[in-house]
Amino acid sequence: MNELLRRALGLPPQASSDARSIDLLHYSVIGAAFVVAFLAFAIAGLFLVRYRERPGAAARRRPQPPRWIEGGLIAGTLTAFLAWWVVGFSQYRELRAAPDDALRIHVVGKEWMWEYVYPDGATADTDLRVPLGRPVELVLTSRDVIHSFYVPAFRLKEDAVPGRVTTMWFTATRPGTYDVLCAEYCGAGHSRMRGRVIVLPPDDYARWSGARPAADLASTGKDLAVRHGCLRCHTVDGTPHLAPSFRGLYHSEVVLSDGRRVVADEAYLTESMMDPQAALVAGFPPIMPSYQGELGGPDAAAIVEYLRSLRTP
Amino acid sequence: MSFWNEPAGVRSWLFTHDHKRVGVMFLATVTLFMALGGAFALVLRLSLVTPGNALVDADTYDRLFTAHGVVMVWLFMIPAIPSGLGNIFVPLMIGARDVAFPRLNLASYWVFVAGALIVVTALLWGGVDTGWTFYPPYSTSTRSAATIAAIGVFVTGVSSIMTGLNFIATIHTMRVAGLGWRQLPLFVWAIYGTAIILVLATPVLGLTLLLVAADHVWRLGLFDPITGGDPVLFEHLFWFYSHPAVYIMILPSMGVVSEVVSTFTHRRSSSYGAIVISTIGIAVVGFLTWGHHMFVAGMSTFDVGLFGLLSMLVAIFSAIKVFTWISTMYGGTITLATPLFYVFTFIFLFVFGGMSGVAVATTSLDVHWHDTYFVVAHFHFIMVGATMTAFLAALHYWFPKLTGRMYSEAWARLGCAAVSVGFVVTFTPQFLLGNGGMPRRYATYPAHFQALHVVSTCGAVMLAGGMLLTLAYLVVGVVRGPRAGDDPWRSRSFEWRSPSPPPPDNFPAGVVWVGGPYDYPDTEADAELALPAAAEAVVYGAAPGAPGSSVGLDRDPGSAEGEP
Repeated sequence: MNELLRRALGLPPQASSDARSIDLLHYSVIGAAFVVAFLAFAIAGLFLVRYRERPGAAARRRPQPPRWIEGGLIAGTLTAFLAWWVVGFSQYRELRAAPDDALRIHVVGKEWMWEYVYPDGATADTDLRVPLGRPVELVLTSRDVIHSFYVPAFRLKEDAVPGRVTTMWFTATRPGTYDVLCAEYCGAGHSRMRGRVIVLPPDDYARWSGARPAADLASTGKDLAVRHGCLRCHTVDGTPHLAPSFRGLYHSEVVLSDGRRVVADEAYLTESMMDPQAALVAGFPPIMPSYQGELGGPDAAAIVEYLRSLRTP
Repeated sequence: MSFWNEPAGVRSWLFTHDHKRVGVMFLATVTLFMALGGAFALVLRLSLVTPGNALVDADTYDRLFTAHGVVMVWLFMIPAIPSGLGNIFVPLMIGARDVAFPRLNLASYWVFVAGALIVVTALLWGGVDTGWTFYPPYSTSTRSAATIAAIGVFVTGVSSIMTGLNFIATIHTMRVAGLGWRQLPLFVWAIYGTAIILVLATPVLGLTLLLVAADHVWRLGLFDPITGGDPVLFEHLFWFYSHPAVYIMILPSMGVVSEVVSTFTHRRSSSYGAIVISTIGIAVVGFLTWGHHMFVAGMSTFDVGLFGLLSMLVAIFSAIKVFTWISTMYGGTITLATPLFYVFTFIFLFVFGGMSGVAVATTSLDVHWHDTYFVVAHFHFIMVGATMTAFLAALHYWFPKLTGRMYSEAWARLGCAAVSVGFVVTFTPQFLLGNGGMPRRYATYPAHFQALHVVSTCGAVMLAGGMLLTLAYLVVGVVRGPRAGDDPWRSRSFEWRSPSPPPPDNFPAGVVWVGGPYDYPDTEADAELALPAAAEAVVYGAAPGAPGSSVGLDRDPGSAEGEP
């Protein structure tokens, strides 16, 4: 039944753990749409034929329809709408909450391609490769305008917004190669901003991953932090120096110089590299230079991963 | 003697204070823009017949879909029914001799023309490639004429605000003696709700577009992250206007449908109160649903849940209207005529389109269907399917009122069939394209989508043929259609109480009205007793305090409606 409806509606294969349940909910809404649209049309058509004007017809009393019919219809419709909201929103919350052990891959959109940064620091490939059956979290940002990372076979998309970091996660359930499309209009190359995600069985993924020299993204980030002089002001042992220590900074709540409290998440950390004075941690001098243009998207992602490796429970 | 030739002369039209003439000028102008926007759409559809860039290159394609969206939204749909038909019929329906501020009304037309000229100049001279949504940082970094287009849209917004204010003042202060809020025709209620949205939401659009233009020119750092801005802030501000703007387009259409259903079924609305409450409900709750355009834009999960819930609530008001229209048909005395056929198309498209809206308002489903052709098909079902068919229903319904003549019913039915079938064939394949994962605004596409695109383009050609046919027989009807008489549909609605076409002043001074706009008999016995022609139903000159002297049903006017 699922397969029949999926084909009838022209939906792509269900290649992620969430695709099937999302499709089932979609069938129920679209099925209801068909039924009520045709019912409304048919009932109105029936009235049109039944009550059409006939000159000289016998007089007959035709009172207004009873109120409870409309009341019942409204109550039924509202119930259906709320039920869809409850099921849909619980699915949505699941789509938002990545498991802790997910494989984190950074994705950077730019006009007009996607770049991937794997936990071991590799960035070269234009195809995204992910292991079958393991949760994968994509950490998205953009270098220029808004893009949207869209994998129809996973039923997932999320905007890649410049100056912000967004996330999405999935568990691929079918090996194969699937389309990656850009779903947010981004200029003349928008429709050519296509890529592929290749789902590999775990052994193949390990072999592919192991074929590269071992280095992980966090240690790449550490190298970068050394090379760009970050550690001259930021310590890594938790003692504050000219700037907040890197240890325990990731996802901690910090108080800013203007009194606001923010969580030092990916978006905040990236912003602090590119525009340090925008949100300065209270108690430190405004001396950090901007690394805009000096650190590319993959570099910034690597430094964020380095900070993540220094988080404290 | 009618408003068409009294007073005579071109100058008397260009500088008229007559609401009907302003409305006619608006109608003519927006029809021109509908044709322009339609032509853009046809080129888009033709170029999508092949997966590559056969007809136009990607850069031109981007300019074309932007032009199509901007023209259709701001130069056709937003002004068409409120500024065009509303201007003509709101005063006629409330027994007024004009709107509250006739000069402001004339100004709103010329300000609209000025804004439209700026927009069209930007679109044709250089072009704009941002899409009608103007999302930064693309719009603040593009080298196309986005700033000029934004200023043009800003100016048309000023016109919208003028019209909205004028309607609110008119409906509050210009109602004829004897016309209370509970006898107000449903079209007037719909225009009232629309006017509230126009006045409250349009300033936010104006502000947002000015900020984009300023960010583009002076690099203020408002929306562009390179200078410290936030593009998501723009999305919030833009949709705070543009979601209610959807109701600016659909609410007046719903008002038209309420009028047409009552007139052609010769039946009072089965629940006047339900229609009024849902009109106001849509106008109010419609302001609180903008976030459902941003479920995958990085908004917090809590906000997503809240906006999803509010979107379901606004959908229920639309459902209430559909139930009421259909139950009004139950037991009516139904005259088969083109306006009613358009209403049938409207009901089908509106219900299916509305339900597809519920599908994308369901938060987890939107993640896949957002920004795909499914959404394109959804809003075209509502905005083109429903708004356009309601606009055509209104044109046919009020054609004899406005011109005193009748179009060819046979050609009109053919035109209605071509438009309805053409529309369904155009947009149904687009739902399937969206299911398959075809994103919108694609100049080229993966080859496996081609078959559905070809079907869609065939439908678009048919739709265009139907529209041209409609234009042709309506023009013939204006020139040499048979005389229609004052009230050819035997409507009880108030606008038919003046002669057709109406004289410049609509009604003699000092009129008092009795009865409601939907005083149709509930039984056939009543029907035989009286469905008087409009001329008799007019209560011109009835002395104040002597309503019994008027012709009409012997019934207490206050109890004519259900409890609102």
